[in-house]
Amino acid sequence: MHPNINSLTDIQLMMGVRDGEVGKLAPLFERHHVKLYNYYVRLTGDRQLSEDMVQEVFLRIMKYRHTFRGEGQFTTWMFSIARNVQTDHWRRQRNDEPLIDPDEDIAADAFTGNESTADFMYDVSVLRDALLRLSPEKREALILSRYEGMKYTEIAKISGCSVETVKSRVHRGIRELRTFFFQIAGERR
Amino acid sequence: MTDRKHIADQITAYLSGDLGPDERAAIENHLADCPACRNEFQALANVWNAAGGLPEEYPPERLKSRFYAALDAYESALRGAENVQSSVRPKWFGSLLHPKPAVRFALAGALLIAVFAAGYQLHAPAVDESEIAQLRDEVRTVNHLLTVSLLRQQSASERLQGVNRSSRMEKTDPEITAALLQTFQHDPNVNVRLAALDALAHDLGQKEIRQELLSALQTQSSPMVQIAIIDLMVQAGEKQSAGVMKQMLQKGDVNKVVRKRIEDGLVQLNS
Repeated sequence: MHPNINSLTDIQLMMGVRDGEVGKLAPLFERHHVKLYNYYVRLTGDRQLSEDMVQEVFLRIMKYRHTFRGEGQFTTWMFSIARNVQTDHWRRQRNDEPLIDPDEDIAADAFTGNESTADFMYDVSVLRDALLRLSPEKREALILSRYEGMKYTEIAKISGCSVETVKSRVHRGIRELRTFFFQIAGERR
Repeated sequence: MTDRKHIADQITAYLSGDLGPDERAAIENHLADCPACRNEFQALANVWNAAGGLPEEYPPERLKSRFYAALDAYESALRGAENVQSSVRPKWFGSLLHPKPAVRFALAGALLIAVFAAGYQLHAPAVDESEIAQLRDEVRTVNHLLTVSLLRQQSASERLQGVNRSSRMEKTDPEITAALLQTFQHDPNVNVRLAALDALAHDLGQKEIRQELLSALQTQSSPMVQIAIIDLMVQAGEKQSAGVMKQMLQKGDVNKVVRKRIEDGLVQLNS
């Protein structure tokens, strides 16, 4: 193994993997598997499934390594694969969760409250539940923006939609999250 | 105010850092003058900050083990695949990339008989119970033949279908079990061997199967398969496996991930 393998960038490592040095996938796994796992946990709420999906992403990276061109960021490419893994899973399961949701809006102002006293927003279980109540498209956009720190242009590439659509999904996602916070707090009272 | 909506739409982009310096300055100027937008901004900023409180979770260690086992298997396959003739080395990625066609005639035959049997049951006005039982037997026999036939096919995807069919069969059939064992021990494709192992796990109550799996632990070349066997033995609390695992630890050529799994397994077996 290269002595300074850890100093290589993601792109350099992946170019090596593409050209047959598959051992270079190990540092890429080390750098990104926790991030990917959290992405799936937040998206699905299912830890076992998230684990399987992370494994599948890295298997696909090996399988499709020849298609890597080294353009843009490695993580954009990796999350595109992650999205396909997830889409294929729901398709196989014929789950009710739609692949492309109609982006239906929740009445974002239906619940109002005094945020300064809204401690429940900082309750992790409320937060997880609220996130899972978002439509899959908005949840995905919000997770990539808020937790992965991605720019809208990157998210648009991953999701295969326009930057404007991403912008709208993140915005509506955060407004609806606020509504769900109050909704869940009301249900638990 | 006329541009309130415009500013409201920009708030999230401001919070997520997706605006340039000029746009940010414009938002800040607007907020200074517009109490309604300021309230909206504060509300969304609270949610944005609260969302950031979701802690990062760490996946179980086995995710790493599974990844490194797959990577090892793949590297071995790349290094040695061309030189090995009657190989037990995995070529699973090759087969994933080049899936081969199914046994169409055999499947069509089974389907025809199944459809016939179903139609017969639906439309025959007063079918004798024994006739239905006979038809069921025939369907079962065809299923059996098809499963055994699939397990012997050249294509890995067809053999996988065979293993999957065997898991769906109603009860343990000695010939299917024998074919599964044969597949598990000698199939050149690691995915097929793993699937066969899963299917055999249902019959772990049988002593002979436990013995076969245990002896395979030392002969299997794939770390993925070895780890799967270790997991099964540990889950089943098979104390006899501890001796075999200890012997393996004494050898120097055990894969490091497998070694770690054995060490963990031994602790669990002794607890």
